[in-house]
Amino acid sequence: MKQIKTHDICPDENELAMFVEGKLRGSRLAAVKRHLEECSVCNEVVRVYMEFAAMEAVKMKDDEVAMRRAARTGNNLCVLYAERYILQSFGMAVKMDDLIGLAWSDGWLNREGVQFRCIGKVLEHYGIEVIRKSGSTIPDIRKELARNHFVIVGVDAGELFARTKIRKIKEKVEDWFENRPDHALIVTSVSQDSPKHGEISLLNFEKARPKEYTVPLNKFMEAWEDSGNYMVIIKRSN
Amino acid sequence: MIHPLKNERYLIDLSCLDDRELVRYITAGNEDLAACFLKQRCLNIFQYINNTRLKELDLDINDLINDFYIFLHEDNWEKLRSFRFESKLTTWINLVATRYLLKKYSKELKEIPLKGTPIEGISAFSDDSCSAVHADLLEAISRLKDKRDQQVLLMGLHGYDSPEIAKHIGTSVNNVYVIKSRAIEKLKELIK
Repeated sequence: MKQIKTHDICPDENELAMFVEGKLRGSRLAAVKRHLEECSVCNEVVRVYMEFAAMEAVKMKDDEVAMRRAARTGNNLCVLYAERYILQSFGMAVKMDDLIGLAWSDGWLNREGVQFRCIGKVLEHYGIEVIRKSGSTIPDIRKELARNHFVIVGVDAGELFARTKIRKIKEKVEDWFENRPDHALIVTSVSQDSPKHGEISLLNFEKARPKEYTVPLNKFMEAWEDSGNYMVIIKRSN
Repeated sequence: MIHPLKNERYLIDLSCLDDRELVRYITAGNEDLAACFLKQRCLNIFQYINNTRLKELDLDINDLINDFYIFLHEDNWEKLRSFRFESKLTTWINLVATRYLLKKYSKELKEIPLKGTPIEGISAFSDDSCSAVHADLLEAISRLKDKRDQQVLLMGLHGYDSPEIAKHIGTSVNNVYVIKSRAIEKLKELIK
């Protein structure tokens, strides 16, 4: 192999990145391959990168296996279950494994679950319009539901679903130190009453099958407040 | 001098930004984001190259990243602006980082011998007179579906022997032989 000293004629990193991602075709692929035959510098760059990328991918795969194991026992997939439910209602049947793979490889999902700011990323991937809003209000939710849009909210699940006295005290203590939003729910309806007397219906996705809960509005507002009144609006049509 | 690795405030979650947003914000002057981007996307490859190619030089990883930051920052992020969004930004920046490091230390690298000889079987594809690897072989390896196969073959090409590979990937030496021989068979199929 001939060694070329100058870098002037080397393909730039855009071409090399496409080469290692297997995206180059035809004459562009042939040109890069020809160059890699001749230039030991680029050859070494590509080889070092490929070694590194293979190692990272194996590490990531190991992490993914651990994450999937965690997912089977915990409730860290609530967002993905909710998004799959919405995709289904749009007529798109997507396997949960595919959604996990997509969210994991794009960095939206980690062992703890999907970051709040990444709620809706999967839906956007499938071409659905999503709007994320903090500091929302109950009338905002009502307005979006009236438009027939989906609404996902971030809440502190413990505060909303805590049943035992000890659990409730623990939630109060946690709230003194920090807000801990840790769960996502789909809102299906909100009554028109005042927060004191009103109720809200929510779809909970701890497991694949959604469970509908109706809770007092004031209790919901406490749990919702912990996420900074975060809601994600999923538009049904453009 | 910028020290992106020495300041904990650079813990920004990048997963919610797509490649276009990242490039736009960084080139618009968001230096916190730029530092965080380098830390999250390039630290691993710098560590990898430092550990596998530059170990003898005893370099400080923070200094390497700082120098790379300054290199990228030159001429108002000219290099980053040349990214064409045809591949993943992470792939691109890691290749830029690789070329940058190998070029910067090319003189020293020539003096560091490879750890051993290419593993059996693969040597048939490579040219012994030069450390460069046949482009068809590289392309075929990139097309192998199993990343473990890629990892074993590429480490072999770098000169690691089977016990070293086994230690590195946390498996038995026998298993490395099995992975290696199957991977070579798959490679031969791809190259046909």
